[in-house]
Amino acid sequence: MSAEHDHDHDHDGHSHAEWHTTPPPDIQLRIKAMESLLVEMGVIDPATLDGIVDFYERQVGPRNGARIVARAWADPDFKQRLLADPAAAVAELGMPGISGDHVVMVENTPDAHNMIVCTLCSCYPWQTLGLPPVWFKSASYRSRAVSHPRDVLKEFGVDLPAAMSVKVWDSTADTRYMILPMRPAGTEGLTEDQLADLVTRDSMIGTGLPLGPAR
Amino acid sequence: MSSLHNLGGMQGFGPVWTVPEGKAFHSEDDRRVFGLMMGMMAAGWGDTDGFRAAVETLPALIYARECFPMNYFLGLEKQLAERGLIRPGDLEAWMQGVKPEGRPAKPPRIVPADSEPPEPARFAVGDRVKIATIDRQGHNRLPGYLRGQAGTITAERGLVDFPDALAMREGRRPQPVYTVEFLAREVWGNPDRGDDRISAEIFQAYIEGAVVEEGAP
Repeated sequence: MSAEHDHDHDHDGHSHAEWHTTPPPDIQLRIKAMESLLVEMGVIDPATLDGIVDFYERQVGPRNGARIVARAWADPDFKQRLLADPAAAVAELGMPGISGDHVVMVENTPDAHNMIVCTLCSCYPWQTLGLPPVWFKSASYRSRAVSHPRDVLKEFGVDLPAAMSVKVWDSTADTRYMILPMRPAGTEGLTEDQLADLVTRDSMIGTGLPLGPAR
Repeated sequence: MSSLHNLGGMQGFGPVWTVPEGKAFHSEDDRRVFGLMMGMMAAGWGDTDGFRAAVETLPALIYARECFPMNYFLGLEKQLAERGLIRPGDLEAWMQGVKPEGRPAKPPRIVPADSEPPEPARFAVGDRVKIATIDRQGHNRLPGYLRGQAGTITAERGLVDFPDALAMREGRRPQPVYTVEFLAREVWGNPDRGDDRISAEIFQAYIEGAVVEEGAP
């Protein structure tokens, strides 16, 4: 490929200049075409793709994180181990590993509320929370979570007292933060499974709080 | 330099729209693009740093206009074109039933086996440091809103291959990563921010140096 061609090539009939403002049309068709072409070329196997998608759809997800939080609420020794060595504590619960991610637990306290963001892309603790919700990847969340976290929290229905400080964790390298929310009042008699039902995904991102006990 | 993906502290994107919990994918496109992306990484044709760089260096107006998962797909297309597997025009031809020929059977080696020696740690927990500003073009993992700011190291996160070098195919240069904590009132210049804080992982190369407080010996 010549240098001249590099600058003059067409993208789907668009000139180079147009490509800078207009994406190729029919992206959905292109997605399907790429998948079928890669299969035809023998680069990927459809069963492998289905397996990958199934893993992230069914085997990981925020219910794993909720089990970790519920255990930490119910078992103070586990909580200490979880804060000191999250990977080992999470392994105790038999969660599937995802290589390359280093989970760090951040504990909410009466004085400080924590929330996580990835301003640069969409880094997220896949192992414990699954794939990020669409808003976590949105420009709207990523731009303002660091600059105006209290306004963003209000959009999620969370209005923090002024006296409580907000700590925002921007995941920019290999560390993946997960929030350990405070145990709701009135949950003393609940089993670990019942506690896990109170732990929402957003409460582990820090954009929500756990549910209260059912009356 | 900074690209449009470097979003922290920008405005104009409207309020956050929230979605109910319980679904891993929010559309069939999302599911399909995610499968392709992960499948190509598993097959050795994609790598995380190179993929991020490909998405970030999409034309800025495309990046701003498209959202997930389309930016990811466009990044994947770009990365596969760079590696010679799916070249410009191939998808159009394939949609007409013409399979491209003469494509490489195996992916190129993307991340080299050998690594440069790790850079020694120059800082430690408790150090107050000033974040650098960088003029290099291409990929980096330094949030724009923290450039030139001073913060305190709160944790050492071990050695990580420098993503700027990996994405630019300049080899593996492991270097220390630190969690650095910043005061929101300093970053945003607003004394009303109380004790609010922001933490980020900062590669050692992004640290200009230790901050010597006035009056210190």
